[in-house]
Amino acid sequence: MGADRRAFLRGTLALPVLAALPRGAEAAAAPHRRRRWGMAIDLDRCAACNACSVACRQENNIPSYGADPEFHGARPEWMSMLWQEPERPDGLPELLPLPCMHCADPPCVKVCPVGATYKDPDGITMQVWDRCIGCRYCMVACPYSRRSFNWSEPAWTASEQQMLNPDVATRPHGVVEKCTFCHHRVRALSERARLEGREPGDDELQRLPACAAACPAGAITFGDLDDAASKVSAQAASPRAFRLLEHLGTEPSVYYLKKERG
Amino acid sequence: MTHRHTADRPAPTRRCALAGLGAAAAAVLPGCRPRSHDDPTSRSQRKPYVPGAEDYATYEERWFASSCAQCPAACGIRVRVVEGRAVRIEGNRDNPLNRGGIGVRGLSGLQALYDPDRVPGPLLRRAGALVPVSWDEALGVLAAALRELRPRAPERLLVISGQERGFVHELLARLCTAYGTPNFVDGAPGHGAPLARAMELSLGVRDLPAFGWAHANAILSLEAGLLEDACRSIYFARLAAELRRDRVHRAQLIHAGPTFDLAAFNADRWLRIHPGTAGALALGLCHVVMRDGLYDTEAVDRAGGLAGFRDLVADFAPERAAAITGVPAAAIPELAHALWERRPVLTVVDERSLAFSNGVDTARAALALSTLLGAVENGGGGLRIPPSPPYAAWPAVAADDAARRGLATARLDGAGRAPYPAARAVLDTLPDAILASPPAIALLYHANPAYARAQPRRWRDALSRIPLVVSFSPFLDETTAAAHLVLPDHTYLERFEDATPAPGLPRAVAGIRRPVVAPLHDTRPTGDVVLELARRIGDPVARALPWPTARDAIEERLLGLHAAARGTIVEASPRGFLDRLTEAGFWAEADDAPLRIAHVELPARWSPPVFDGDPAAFPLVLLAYRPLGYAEGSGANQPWLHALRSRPGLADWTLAASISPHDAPAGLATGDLVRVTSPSGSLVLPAHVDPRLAPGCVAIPTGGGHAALGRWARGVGVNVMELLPARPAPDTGASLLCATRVRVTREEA
Repeated sequence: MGADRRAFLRGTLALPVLAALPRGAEAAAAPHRRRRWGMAIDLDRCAACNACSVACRQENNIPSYGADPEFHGARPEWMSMLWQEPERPDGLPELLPLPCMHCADPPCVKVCPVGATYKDPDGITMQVWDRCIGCRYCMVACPYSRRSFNWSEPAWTASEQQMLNPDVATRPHGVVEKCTFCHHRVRALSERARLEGREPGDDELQRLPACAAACPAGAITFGDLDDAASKVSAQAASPRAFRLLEHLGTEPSVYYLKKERG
Repeated sequence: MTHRHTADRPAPTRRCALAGLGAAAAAVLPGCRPRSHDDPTSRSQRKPYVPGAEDYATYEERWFASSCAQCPAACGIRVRVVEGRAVRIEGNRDNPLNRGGIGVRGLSGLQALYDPDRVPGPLLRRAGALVPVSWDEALGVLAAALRELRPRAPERLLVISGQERGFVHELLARLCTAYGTPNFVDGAPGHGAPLARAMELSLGVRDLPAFGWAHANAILSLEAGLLEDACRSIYFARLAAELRRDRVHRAQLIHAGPTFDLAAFNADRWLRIHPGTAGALALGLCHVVMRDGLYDTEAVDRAGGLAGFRDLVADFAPERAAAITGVPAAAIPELAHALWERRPVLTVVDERSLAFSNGVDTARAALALSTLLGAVENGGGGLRIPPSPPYAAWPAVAADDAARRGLATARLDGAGRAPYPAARAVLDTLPDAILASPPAIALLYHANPAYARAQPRRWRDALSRIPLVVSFSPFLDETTAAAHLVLPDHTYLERFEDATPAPGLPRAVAGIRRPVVAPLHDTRPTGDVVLELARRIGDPVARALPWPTARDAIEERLLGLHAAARGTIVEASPRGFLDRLTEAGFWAEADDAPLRIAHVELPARWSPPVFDGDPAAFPLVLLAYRPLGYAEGSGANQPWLHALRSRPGLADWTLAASISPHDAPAGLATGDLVRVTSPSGSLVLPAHVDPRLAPGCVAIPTGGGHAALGRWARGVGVNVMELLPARPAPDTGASLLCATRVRVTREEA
């Protein structure tokens, strides 16, 4: 009797477990869908408010150095505004939010002697801080100057240390750092979606990186350039779309949409 | 072997696994010791290495909805808190004000909270130095002084609040009324006072305007800093994007101003004008509109003062308007016709337009042009009177004889009587008034006049004459560092309070600030301190402030929103309503407020701006401006804000004097040092030779030259307020940022 009851209980308890198993197993076994992450920045929406650059500092634990002129031009920044003087003397300058272009054919990857920077299968140009030897070849190679070298050990007081984002490793003295398209956010969303047995939706991705999330004007859109239904791929196909230094053949994943005045 | 790692312990390496076979083995393998927590090479494979994260146990994260307090806009925010530490601030996507967007100041709030140089607890000056004391002792000192003063001369209590709205601010005002002092100097009167006065004269309502932007086909900004000054720029950045890209017919943004700032950069069309002359441009446009019969006849026929207005605009033929503003004469009729074609057109002025002595005239000219172009409460929106959330009221204060006597005395700052009859408060006259007749006690709530006001040295002298200066600031700014008693407030991420956004929205929004982390230091919310002081002073002051905590007082007002039973939160029980309000971070009306403007009075005068200094000795006009993210320098303790370029083309962490090549000393290059001298002071700073700046002026940002406010603020730039005269605007008593002439000479390094 006792054994029967045990067997019965085991059976009834196993049923929902078994029912749940195949779905979980399937989800776990489903091959990871390859993505081509990209970004579109609509300069006609952008108000040059700089929220993107400060949001990036907050999210990615980018250290602040003081007013010391020693640091002029040497402070790490992943996302900042590029001031572009006009080609015609009567023209007006342009201001562009400038993240890493995450080139499909990145010159920085080719020159790294230790494989510290590499192309992730989903199109993000990654940098492994621990592997970087600080030779700075990548900084020379990058035509967009979107790489920063840590000229000193970043220091936070015990108080400031508390606001560091626990999801992003800080970088020590002597290594190069750069924009990661907020890879940790992409990964967190992808993992959450996978546990729920689905793919991340385009609406969740559009404002996923910290810069895009902060933008008051909705000027920055993130997403999968290979997903024909995504907003970013539609914007990349816009007649206003262009990429920076396209003639170099680096194939940037960041598209700009031209500003219109008039 | 000590080992402090917990949750983010580095993954065991193979070497360590081998070493783990025995202590003896470990002892002979020097590379196997667990790395100490402060070794920067100690990098986890599983969790990223972040200094301080070794103290995390669970990585439990929570999100709190709150409201920003880094500028008066009060955007909705969400704060990510991991095990009690605030690590991210984002915009709240549900908030109708910012819809998820957030500005540079809002993002930098973490650096205010975790500023390493915050005031750690109450401080009392003893033998010349500020020393830590207990709250009981600190409150005892102030309460005894207040108790002693009240029967003798209650009007000798001076309270300066750096805020313009909020229930804690109102608690302080209530304390003043019950105590019996008329000397409650509130707000930042430089900001809204001229515009509110112009609204009163033109529309009969003393308030800042709100705009229904959605139907505007063009926006004409008259020297407004819409996309650069901190306040409302987040709201406007979204609107500008929507007006241009999210509708079939793109709206046009036209900016008139002397500098190529972000407002000019973001405009479809930029008209470079002489500083302070935007009102003349508006009247020139009015002239053409009236001459050519292009105006909204119905609106104009209803308006008052038409005859005087016709006489006024008759003087502003395009040639004359062109001569005053510097815009080509042909451009004015062309622009007037283009605007008429695009109506409704919103003509916008803000704090930056009103930084000149003729601010009220400029604002009235702008309101007149809006009326002519059909933008005053047209069906779709337009200019309107801002709605207020339906807060409940506190019971009236019953003043006793001592209070009545004190309240009947004249205000120190001269507000409300000639030459400032329309002023609610005047800051710039205070130093002289204090030196002439020093108050006995001064309370400063989020105010730093010894740095942020014209002639900061004079302010320091004046404050030094007051026997007891008390600051509630959480930061050791210039005024606080010179105070006798510091009763530090929580920062906005540690306290509960209301957060009503600055006017400008067409619908009423009431925000809430809530504590998202436990207080980092031995600080107390100023609202609670005010109530405790009232209790210690005793009746009748205590009777006027009967609440046990400031939160009780604030919630009493907030329950008006519950009683209204509409908007985004409707709940049966008051407690349930307050809980949901705190959870959501804001309450908002469901729709835009109904239109209320009954009558428009057109202006009959315009005056050119007046500047201090003889044009022969001081040929250039000084444009002191609030750069992106800085406001009045209160954010200088937040290093992320220093990383912004104060003008496009300038380096970060640099504050420079922009000057046109026409006016620059021969051979001057960007980066060279110049001396800028006004009749009131002199400063040395780097030059920024800016070919787009209107000739005849020098533009210098506020926010530099801190002598206090912590390690990040000190040693960056110079304080332009040293150059400004303490000369408030006539009538409104507003502090003016553009009120003096200067000369520029080269300074050898």
